[in-house]
Amino acid sequence: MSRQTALNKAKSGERTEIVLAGVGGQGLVFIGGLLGRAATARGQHAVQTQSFGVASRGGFTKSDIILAELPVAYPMVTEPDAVLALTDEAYHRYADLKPGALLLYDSDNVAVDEGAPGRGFPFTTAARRENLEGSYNVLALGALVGMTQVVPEDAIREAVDGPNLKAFELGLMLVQDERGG
Amino acid sequence: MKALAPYLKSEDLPLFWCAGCGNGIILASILRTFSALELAPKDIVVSTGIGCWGKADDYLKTNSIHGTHGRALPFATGIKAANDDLTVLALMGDGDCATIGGNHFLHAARRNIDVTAIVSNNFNYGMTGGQYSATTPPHSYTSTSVYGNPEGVFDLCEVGQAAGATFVARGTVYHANQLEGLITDAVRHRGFSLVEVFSSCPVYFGRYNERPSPVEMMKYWQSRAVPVQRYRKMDEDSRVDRVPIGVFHRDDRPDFNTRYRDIRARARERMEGRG
Amino acid sequence: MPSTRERRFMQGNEAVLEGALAAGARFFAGYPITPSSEIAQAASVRLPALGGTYLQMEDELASMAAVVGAALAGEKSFTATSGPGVSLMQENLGVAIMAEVPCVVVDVQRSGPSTGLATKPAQADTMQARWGSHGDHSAIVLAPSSVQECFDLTVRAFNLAEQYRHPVYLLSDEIVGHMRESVTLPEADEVDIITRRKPDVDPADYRPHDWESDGVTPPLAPFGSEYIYHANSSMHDDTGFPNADPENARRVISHLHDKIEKAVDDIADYELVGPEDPDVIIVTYGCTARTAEQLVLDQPVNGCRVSLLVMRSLWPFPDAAFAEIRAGGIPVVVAEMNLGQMVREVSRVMGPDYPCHSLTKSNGIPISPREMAAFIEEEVL
Repeated sequence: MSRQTALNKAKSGERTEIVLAGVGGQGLVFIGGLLGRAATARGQHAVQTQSFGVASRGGFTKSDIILAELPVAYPMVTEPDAVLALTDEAYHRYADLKPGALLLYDSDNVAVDEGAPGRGFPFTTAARRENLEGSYNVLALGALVGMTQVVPEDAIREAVDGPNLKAFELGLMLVQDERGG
Repeated sequence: MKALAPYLKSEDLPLFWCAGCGNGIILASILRTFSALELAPKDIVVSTGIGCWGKADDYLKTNSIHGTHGRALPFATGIKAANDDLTVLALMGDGDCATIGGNHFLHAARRNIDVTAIVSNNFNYGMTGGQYSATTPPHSYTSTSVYGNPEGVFDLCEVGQAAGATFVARGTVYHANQLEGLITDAVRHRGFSLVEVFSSCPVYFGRYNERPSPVEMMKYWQSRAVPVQRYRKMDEDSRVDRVPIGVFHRDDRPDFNTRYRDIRARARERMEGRG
Repeated sequence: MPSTRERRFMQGNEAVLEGALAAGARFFAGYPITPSSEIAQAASVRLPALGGTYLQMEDELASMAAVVGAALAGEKSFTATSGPGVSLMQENLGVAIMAEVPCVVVDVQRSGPSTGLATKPAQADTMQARWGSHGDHSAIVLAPSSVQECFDLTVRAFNLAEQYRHPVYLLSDEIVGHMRESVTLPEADEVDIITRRKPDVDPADYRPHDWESDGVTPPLAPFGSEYIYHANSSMHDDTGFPNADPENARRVISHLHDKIEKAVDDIADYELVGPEDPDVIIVTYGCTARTAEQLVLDQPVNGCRVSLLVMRSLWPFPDAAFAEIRAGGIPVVVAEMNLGQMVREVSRVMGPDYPCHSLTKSNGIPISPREMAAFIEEEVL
């Protein structure tokens, strides 16, 4: 059965759109790949795209992930359901999300006024405290997965080990009081 | 002649090149090398460029690829990298090798691919009507430098050696016996080998530069060429109007295929290590 | 659907390399260029471990020449590049066409002209892939729109190259090449591959271009076998030696053209997706097919029923697919990330009075489903 035939059988294009945004070198493409692999291993369909500037380090960078039960058609994010913003620039680019969408940010890097949208957690401080600076990205992913449950937590646990696994658990713990249902 | 029969399409003789052209002498030297080394025609691949010398493969009963202008070396590189058992030659003119294909020449030498480049250098583009090339001497005349050539030249042997060629030699079409020896040594050499052959184009380069007869062109090489050993001992003044010939350089740096065999072994180890 | 096979999350460019390896390719020559470089990188890692060869050449002219050389030495060989590199490869692509040498060229398209909007996506090499390289010739061009198709169509590209002794393009693009998707790769023994046929005549009788007595593709012997021959960029006869006779030239040029054009039914690969009685049919390929798929999923679009004709092969152009649509009289929208290249072919088949609309975009940003829906509402309904 071709991909298009599969689409013919699809009844709806329901999908979850996630943006991982920050600066080059933070490992956003890596954690996007973790999400994609975890979803794929659980039988879901995932698509990841990315955009970055000329430099491999520095400059605005984002990694977009779309997850769905059926093959994903349009591979670009159009209306994010969740955004992880690790820099001030990333936060402000996505400050105006659709109602009900999650804007999760690193409160150590983003200055917001009282009442500004989104939920901030001190990812940088938390990573530094546990000597997990090298796994900062996976810590933030833990928080995102904890808040959204876009993939089962175990699916990520199976894909990481060592400091990354510790960082993932730490990220989950950071947000455990916030998790809805 | 009989010994050359397995390699030469003798039914197509006489050669289509102009009377007095040096290409026939170079071709004969190559065929004698094949015979002397007892190479089987099936194990030889000759890659040719475009131009008068680029049509040399028309007379060959070996394998050949007649490709594009200046690209004889990259075709040869692909062939040799894919099958190390083949003896691969690239036949190029000065337009092919020194000019449009200059970059490929540099990199084939740097890569030290086990290919023998035989460059028929007649100092101009013969097939297109005698225009100047990257080996046309300064101030000499061609159909596009009727007021004198404003450009400088590449000394192919010096460039080749600087770029990493592991066998570098020069001969002339006058010194035919020596030429066969140079080509034989070059083909036997493992690594990138260059034989530059100073050749004669009486119809264009000769005519434009007051050496219009084949005999005059031959006499020119006879009087100018000096064995490299002697040339190296000569002072600046006596080097004027003299050109060195012979083997300029030879070293045994491993060729590309030998080094790539190590790469394959390392890659296999790494992959097996990953389990 | 076999369910035991491993599902993987993989990049389009990586899937191209996996497809090439599955097809039996063991030789890559190329020059790095975004957005294709991941193919070269993966080739440099995987090929030597398989006893194959990765050659990083000095430019794309040399890369294409080395690919042709390796093919003549018996390897299934390929290169990967982007539009600027294809521009340089056209010279020696012509050698592959003229000397009938099978090989594969992967073009991961980026925005142009020239260095252009480096390295944003575009689909503006559609005509370069068809017509690039001088002289009369035909072209086989496949266009993946998903990571799975990057694998499947790469395998097919190698098979078609062998079948027709012709260089075959895989025309990918920055979006398809760089995106990662869930794919299911077949096991090695599940992939149908065409192995190069060896001649079985007496070596003295071998004629490498004797298509008249041996079908479309007389076997191509590897250099070094008992079959000695000349591969020739100059006009040649069936021996491979030069032949300037006008009648011979007519025969050879017609053959090079007709062997592809007359095989269009075999090569053509397209599919109509969505309702069978739509109000509009979107015709597209590559990354833009994904936009159209979204409309098919989301329909009705502004009350309009939308189908998609996705072209997985672009050249030779599948006239028959459009003749069928033409008979139904349904309006078509040809959508592409260029200023309107494929729409010319569609219009040629449909005729001047047919409602054939051109949706184009050429600013490095993909056509979004919203833009496509708006175009249908404004231009078609």
